[in-house]
Amino acid sequence: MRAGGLRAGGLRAGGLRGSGLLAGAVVALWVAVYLVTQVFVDPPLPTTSTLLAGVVLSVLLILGYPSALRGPRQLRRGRRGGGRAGARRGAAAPATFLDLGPSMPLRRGLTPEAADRTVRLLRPLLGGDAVAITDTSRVLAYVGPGRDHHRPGQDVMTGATARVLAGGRTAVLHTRGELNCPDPDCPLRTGVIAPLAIGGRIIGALKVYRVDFPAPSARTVEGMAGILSLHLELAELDRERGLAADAKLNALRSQINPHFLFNILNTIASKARTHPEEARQLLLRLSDFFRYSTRQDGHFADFGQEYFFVRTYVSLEQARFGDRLHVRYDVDPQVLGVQVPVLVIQPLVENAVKHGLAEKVGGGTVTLRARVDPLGRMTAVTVRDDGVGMDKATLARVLAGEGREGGVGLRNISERLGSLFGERYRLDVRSAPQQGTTVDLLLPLA
Amino acid sequence: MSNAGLAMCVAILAATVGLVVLLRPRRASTLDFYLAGQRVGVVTNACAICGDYLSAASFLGVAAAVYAFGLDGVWYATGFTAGFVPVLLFVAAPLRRFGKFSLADFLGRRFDSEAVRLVAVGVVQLVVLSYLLPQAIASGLTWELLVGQGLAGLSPYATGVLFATVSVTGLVVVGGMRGATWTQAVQFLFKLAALTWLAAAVLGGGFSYSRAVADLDAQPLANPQVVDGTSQLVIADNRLSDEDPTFAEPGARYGAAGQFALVVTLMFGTAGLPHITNRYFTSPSGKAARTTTVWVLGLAGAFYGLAVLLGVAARDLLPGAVPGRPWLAALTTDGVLRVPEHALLALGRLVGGEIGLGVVASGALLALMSTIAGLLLAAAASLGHDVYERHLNPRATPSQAVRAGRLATGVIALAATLPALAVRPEALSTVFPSFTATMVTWAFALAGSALTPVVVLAIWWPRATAAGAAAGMLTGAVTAIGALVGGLTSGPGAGEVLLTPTFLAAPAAALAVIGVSLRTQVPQGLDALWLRLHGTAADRRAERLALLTIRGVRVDAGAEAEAPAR
Amino acid sequence: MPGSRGRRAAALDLARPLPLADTAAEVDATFRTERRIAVGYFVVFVVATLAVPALTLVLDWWSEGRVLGGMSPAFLMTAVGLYVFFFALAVAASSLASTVEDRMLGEPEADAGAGWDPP
Repeated sequence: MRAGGLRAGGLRAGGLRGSGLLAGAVVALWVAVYLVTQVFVDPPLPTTSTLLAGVVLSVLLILGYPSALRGPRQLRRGRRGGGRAGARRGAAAPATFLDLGPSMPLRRGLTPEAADRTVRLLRPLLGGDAVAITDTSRVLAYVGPGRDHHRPGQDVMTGATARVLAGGRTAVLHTRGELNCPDPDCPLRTGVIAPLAIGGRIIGALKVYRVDFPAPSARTVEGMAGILSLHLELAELDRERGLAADAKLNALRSQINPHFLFNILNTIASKARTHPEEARQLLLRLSDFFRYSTRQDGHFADFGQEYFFVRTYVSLEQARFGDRLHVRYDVDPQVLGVQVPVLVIQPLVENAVKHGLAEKVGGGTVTLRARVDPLGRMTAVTVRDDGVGMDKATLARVLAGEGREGGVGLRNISERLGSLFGERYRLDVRSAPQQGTTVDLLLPLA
Repeated sequence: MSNAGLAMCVAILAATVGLVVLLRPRRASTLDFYLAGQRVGVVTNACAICGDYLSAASFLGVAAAVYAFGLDGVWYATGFTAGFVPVLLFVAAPLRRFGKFSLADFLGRRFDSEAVRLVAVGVVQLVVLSYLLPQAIASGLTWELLVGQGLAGLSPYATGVLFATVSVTGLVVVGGMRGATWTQAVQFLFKLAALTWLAAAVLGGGFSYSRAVADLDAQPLANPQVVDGTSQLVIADNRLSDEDPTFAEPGARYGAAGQFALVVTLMFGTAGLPHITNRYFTSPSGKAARTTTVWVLGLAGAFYGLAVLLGVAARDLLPGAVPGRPWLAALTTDGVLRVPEHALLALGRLVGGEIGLGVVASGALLALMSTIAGLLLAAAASLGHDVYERHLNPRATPSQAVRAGRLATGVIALAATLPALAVRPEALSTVFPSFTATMVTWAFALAGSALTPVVVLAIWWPRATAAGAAAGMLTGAVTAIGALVGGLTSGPGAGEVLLTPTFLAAPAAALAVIGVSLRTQVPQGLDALWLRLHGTAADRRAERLALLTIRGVRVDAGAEAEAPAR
Repeated sequence: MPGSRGRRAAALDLARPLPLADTAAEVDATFRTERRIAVGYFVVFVVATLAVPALTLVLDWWSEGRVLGGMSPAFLMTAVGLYVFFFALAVAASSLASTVEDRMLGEPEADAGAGWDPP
């Protein structure tokens, strides 16, 4: 990866220069001490105190000099990280399995880590010596005697488990023979294997073994398997719900990019022959824009990123409009730290340019204003243009969500905002013919 | 005050508003520099923070403390400045990187706990109220001195209190003073300019700082007190030695332990002040937040240094100026002001006549208004968001949220105004000379005991837990308040140290955090939180984005093979 | 200060892919280093600041000397010297912390013109 840490500097690397500098500093210190205590101040400090002060300061300087120059000591990377995480995990386990509730490990799905924690928690409760959880093909977690050959990650070894996974019924194993473990030294003697199922679908198994007779209680194990199955079902529902919400937002968001791309490519194409260099620069700028816009971690981004989009968009449009387009930014720096929904502000500016100014002879000005209102904990964004405006009928249509040709639809934006914020936002559009349009947006401070 | 002074005051205030409106940056390039963390943005934000921090206590109260107590009073100024060093070292960058708007937000999210958030809200309200009270009192005093008469049958003092709080509350509620960065920055620059002018005028008139201190130190320090019904000069007690106290030696106000206790209290308080930590949200990155704090130390240091100089100047120059100035004679006893908060105002009038008084008074008023607004916003926003929106009405529409915020503002303003009206400043002055600075110290004590230890441990100790944080805040707050009450009820002597209780309450809070945390579990998802708190990935991303924005089009430097490999 | 990064960025950095996220190990190491730095400077700060009133109790000269005919060393230090000290300490601490961050977190120096690699 990277060269680690800071190199050891100071005395060692500086060599003669380093110690020469230190000697000079000590001399300067003593001169200063002398001046301050004997010359500038009247009455002067008694000699013993002066010497004491000088010595103390010199010692501090000599000790502090290398550390100040060199900075922090050589770092040890990575070694401490695991230890800290381990210590945290072991710190305070819940009292019993039943106290876990929603923090039950399997609640997040059937993963090796979750399975591992679950089997450790279950072991004291199920009356067995060894507990394992498998999915349909591999062992996910195992704890107890026999750990050396029954290892997580291995394929399911015993035929009994395979039968349970296929048939979906609990199996009780009374003898070693029924256990059917390939390893002759395996200490396990009896066991119970219960399936984990969601609906009718088998997704894994819970296995409890003992090193002696009789076998563990089948009812207990089955009951526990039922509880685990429930949690797994909830986990799946959670995931589906998240996916659905994501899908919806993604769909809404992806409506925006294609038409923007279309317009800009048109511009670039029109310049390609007459101003090739300019077209190339536009293309590079556009690629920047998309590199950042499609790499979203979520549905929110820093205001700085939205601002970047707006600026990029404006510079691209300026290629078309020339100086008929003026944009003013009235943004309070306080807004910079705010997280706003992605690709909401740039489309508003785009609307203002395309529908407000494009048809106005002589061009006009778009103003982007953003403030934080600490009292209501809201961000207030206003996009105003002094273009042609809309008459009442058009305004009503726009508000009802029928996009104008090529328009990004305020409907798209307001749907996204509604899905992200519910009732807690406001989007107002005011317009009058020849008097421009003002779009007011109030968003909660995330 | 005559019409000329009043007119000057009004003119200056109007000019400030005008400047703010006219000079507000509107070009994209300026904002680009903010985003990239470059100097323009950093300095502006630093000015805004100073504007919030330098309240009337700093403006009038520090000079008053220096006037009344000499060296012991200078420690107020130095301590207020020192408070930003722990902010720089421990709080600035991580708080900004975490990205939450307020302290309560930060603590609540860091510990993933609503309980912690609510406790933090409670402590924040207490801190704000204790900081607001001296501001209200100071506004009454300023009105008393400037206008001299009350309206509608109220005393001048009461009129001043009501006028300031009602007008600021009104402005905040209506939406005028929401603490925009640029506004606060301009206000600070004006206050700094006022002090600079005053210092320049005083120095130009032949004042020599070192000579004045030496002269003042030659005589015993005496302040007016009411003895047998009349005000007389009484030599102050020396808490440190048996001799009479002098100006440049400690002991006039604090004993040995008291000195340290005061310095410690002021040092730790700033990091817990809610309206200051809110401003760190504005910086574009953690690194910029750190640089901003460096600038704050420089600017605030300059401001406080000037205030100290002016306090000394007042003490030196006023006695000699009493003959022939009836207005000054009315304020003083044997040449020493009865209410030390008048020091800067009197000096302004001495040096610049009515106009000078107007300049200083408008500086004081600006300081008052901006701080009151900032505090009201910090507290009301906390109530409105952390309590109302999250608990009482999670689906609040914007208009409901705004209404809740306005209501909260009114409630807090009322809670601060009523005690201010009940107080009589002349009576206060005998009990607590320079009480403005003293009362602000209580706010610092509460913030430094209940909030600073918890915030610092939250940022730098991964083992801290929600229960620990709540326990720490409660312990710190209870200890601090208990100590304050104890100090107030016991007389001078050992009990006085309790009035600056951070040395006691902060370690108690820290111990509580540590002790309780070791017995409870850390919040889930700590790794991701830690990455956000101490990792700079988001900052680097933002910085690169900002540079891209500034550069406009990419500079290729000859690298041709740039096929977008997607 | 962003200046140096800006110079690198201007030349070829802009061609590079987006900065990768920090790994937990890197952040942990940086955090420990920063904590050491912060605590170290804090100790220096507290000791120096509290030394000024402490010296008045210990050393008569501190309050009785007259620097260049005027203030005592104690007064000079409190009213002027400590302000300078705070500012100097702040500059030192801030630049060290920023340097540590820059060096311990973030991508290696540019291997320039590498083109675009999809991260």
